[in-house]
Amino acid sequence: MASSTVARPALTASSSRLRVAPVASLTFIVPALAVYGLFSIWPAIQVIWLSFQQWTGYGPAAFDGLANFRQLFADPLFHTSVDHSLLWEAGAVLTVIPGLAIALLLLRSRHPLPTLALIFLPSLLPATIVAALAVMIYSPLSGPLNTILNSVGLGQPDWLGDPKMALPALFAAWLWSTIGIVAVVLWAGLRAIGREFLDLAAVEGAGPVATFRYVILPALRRPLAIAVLVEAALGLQVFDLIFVTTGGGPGYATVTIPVDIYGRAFGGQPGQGAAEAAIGLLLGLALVGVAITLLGRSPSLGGFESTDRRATWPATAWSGIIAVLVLLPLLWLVPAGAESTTAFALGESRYSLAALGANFAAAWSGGMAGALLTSLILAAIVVAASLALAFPAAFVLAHAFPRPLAPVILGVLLIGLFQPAMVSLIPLFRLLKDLGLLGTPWGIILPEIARGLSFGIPILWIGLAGMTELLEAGAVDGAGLVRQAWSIALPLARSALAVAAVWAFVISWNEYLLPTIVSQDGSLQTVPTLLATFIGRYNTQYGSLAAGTILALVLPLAAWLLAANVASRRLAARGGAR
Amino acid sequence: MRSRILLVFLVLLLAGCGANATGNAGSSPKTTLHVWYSTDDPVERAWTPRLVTLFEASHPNIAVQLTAYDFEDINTKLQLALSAGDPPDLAYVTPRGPGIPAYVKAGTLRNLASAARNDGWAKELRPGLLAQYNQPFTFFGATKGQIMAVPMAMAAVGVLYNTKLLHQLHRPVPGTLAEFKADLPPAKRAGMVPLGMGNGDGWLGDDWYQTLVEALIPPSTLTAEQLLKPFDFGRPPFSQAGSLMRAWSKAGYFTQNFGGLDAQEGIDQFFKGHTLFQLVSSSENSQIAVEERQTHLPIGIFGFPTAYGGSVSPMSGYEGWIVPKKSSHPAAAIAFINQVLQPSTAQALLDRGFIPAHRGSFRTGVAWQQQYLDMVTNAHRGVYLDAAPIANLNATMEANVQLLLQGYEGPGFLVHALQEVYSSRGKQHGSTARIDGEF
Repeated sequence: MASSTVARPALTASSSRLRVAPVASLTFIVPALAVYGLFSIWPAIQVIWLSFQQWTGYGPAAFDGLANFRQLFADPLFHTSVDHSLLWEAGAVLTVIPGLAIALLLLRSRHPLPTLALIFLPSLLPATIVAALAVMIYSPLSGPLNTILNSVGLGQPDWLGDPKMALPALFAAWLWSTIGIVAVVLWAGLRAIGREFLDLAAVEGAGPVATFRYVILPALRRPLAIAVLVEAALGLQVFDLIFVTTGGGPGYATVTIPVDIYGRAFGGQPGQGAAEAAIGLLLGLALVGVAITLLGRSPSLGGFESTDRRATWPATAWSGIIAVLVLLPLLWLVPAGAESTTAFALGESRYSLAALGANFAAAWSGGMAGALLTSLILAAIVVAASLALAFPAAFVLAHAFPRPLAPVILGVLLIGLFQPAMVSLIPLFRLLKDLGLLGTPWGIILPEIARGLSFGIPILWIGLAGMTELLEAGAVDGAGLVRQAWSIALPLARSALAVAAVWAFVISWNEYLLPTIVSQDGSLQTVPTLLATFIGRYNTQYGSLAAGTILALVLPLAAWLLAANVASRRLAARGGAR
Repeated sequence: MRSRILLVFLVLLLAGCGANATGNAGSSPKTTLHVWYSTDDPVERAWTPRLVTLFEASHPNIAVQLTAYDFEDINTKLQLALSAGDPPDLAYVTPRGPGIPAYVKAGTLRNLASAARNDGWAKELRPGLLAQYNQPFTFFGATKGQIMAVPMAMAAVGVLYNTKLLHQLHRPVPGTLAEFKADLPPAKRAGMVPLGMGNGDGWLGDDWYQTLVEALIPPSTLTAEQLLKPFDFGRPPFSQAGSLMRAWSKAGYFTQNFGGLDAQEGIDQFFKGHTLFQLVSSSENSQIAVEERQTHLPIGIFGFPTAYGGSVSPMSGYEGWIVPKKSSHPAAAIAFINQVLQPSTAQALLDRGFIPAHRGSFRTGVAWQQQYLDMVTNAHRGVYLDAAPIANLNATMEANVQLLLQGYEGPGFLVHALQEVYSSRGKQHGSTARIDGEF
């Protein structure tokens, strides 16, 4: 332990900046900002411009002042959608509580990485699949939830059909699909708390509650702020889940800002859609402001990976139980995959290996192999490019950029997180057409990289803060800017790099809308777009959908478990060496 | 080293993806016709290559690249493509707003009147259908006689019934609205589900409401032309239909928890054998055919009986073929439309369970499908109200019927909402309108 405390300084904020030539720092930051600006900010600017125009979606637009905003504010449906979105956001922020509970249990678990992998698994499901699962599970007459409730005499609630229950029911489905991301962020934060602080607290006689209140919670402010930011950003953009399950109904019970924006943008009033999107952006900016404030005030006690986690069997058992609970909805895929679609729909419970084989064959012959390969290649490029662009930009922003400009850049970057994707579709589509990117993989990759940067740069920026003394020492030893970044900063930012990589992967892996519009002839089929073909307005192919979803999950799960196994061994080896 | 090999591999694969996406047209001397087809029905989706096969066999110099999209996707994609001036050569899309009306209003569609005249499209289709289908578009800038879209198959509303249960009740197939209503209480008492319903996605409640309006209103007082004039939803049948639905819902005649079941699940419930009547659209025929074969449930179809004698079969917003002005190959697109209007295509449609829009006496060996075909021929075609080219009328109707059935609002509020959206031409949303990008 002593050696580790000497080897790494704490990640405390530093007021000094590296002396770097402006041209050198620009070469680090310009590529990232160019991609981000072109594919994220430019469409956002166009949306704001459109919000002041009278436009049918075709032909020229005419300046119309604030008319779109006036019509919007006079429309009670807009207010309903704002109310629902604010409720959703409040719930999203509160998600950090169960997320923190899971992370704390994982900290004491003997098998944290495999358990975390299982809890994270639903985050790898495209929203359309989460929606299809929600429809199956909430099905009032044949769904597993009501089957259980009915068997214990609690009746058969109409989860998605009752206007009073539909929004909470959908939120629960969303919570299930995102809690893993929160758990990952907070678990990484907990692991970064210096062990000497925990030891000190123990020496001072602090119990678990006092340790949590006075050591863990203050040290976790930054990861908590990040978790809140992520959940708020994801919550403000929920669209596919609602659109596929209820379409905003019953009545108006689940209309949120993104659903309403889509309705207006593609329902004949793109100007009003743009106006609502601009308001959504403002709401996002307010959240960004809160997040920056929280991030700026956060102290850090971290810098050391705690190797003595005092793992306990109760914590291991509880975290395992949670993992099983999180996985339960996915287990529903197994019977669905082992029946013909018709037998499943009719509730006949006629499971057979033949039906299982037929469903997997149908999913496979429907193009699952190609879709998996395409999605993996796209995600790999997006992750690699996002990190390659984000790291140097974050390095310069953290250590060589004029300090007063930093929050401005941070705010601009975070706009991308809160930008409702569907409303920037129109300008983005035109941009991709003008650049000749329609029908090519780059039409998907570049906007996804831009979205990856909107989170990647801020998270790496935070991860790279507080290394100035080390970097200056490196400079004294003759290390240039590239050497300082590559040899000193990069190894110390592994946790932040991992979080940024996870974010970029999830964005790319789950993206549905972008491949749909970029691939004009459907030749660029990704996992979400392929699985969506099994979901129909008149007839959903449950068997193929279940089989395809299982196939889509197996590969990333295997990769994660493999990585988790390697990481566990390394951790164990390091712990043993000490 | 290994990572470099991986990188090269990825780049090569990606380059391969790009080549696939764009390479076909350039390497072939054939004309490539880009066709977008909207369907949510996997049977129909699987069937669409048959259209291509039929066409390419008779047009060897044209290669068809047909891509099927679901209804939501094609609405988004086509608006983006038309807006950016990069549309497909031919598309099969909905006539409900925004859909074809929006494309007509934006002046993005080719007038197909001369092709229709030269190739006799009106004679290939059911009497008056081509004109009736195109009439609403005059509201959006098309002139009378212009042909902006051509239907191929119909979506006709009918009543599916369980013949065994009807025999158990010792009742005949209802021939009047009064008989239909009289069947419901004894069915309920006998432990049956009198009326099948799955309204999670909203459109079946919408079909129910419009069918009941059509059954209650004298046919001469509700015509397609009226939809283009100031329209009065305040007439008694509009609120009576709502009241009837509310009363039936309150009496427990509809499938339990119908609000959380989608239309497909409603049909699943019907084939479990406890439901007496189920309102269906012929667009669901492929699902019905599959489940009928699976369960061997004895079923039949009849047109909804009206208060004025006879039956009505409202036509829901069935798709039509459109040719964008910026189509690169309009002649080939028209040739494709000619192909789909051939009797051979009609028979192929019928064989897959669809009701062809074609004129002529087609036969099928499946009894209930033949009943459906006969019903479409014999029943009053009716006017599908949400085909009125008013943006958001359909979405508003769906939302408010959902709330009506759940008891959150009354029939008066429903008609008020419809009137408000109609009168504002969908521009003013007010407190009652529902916006929906789909239709």
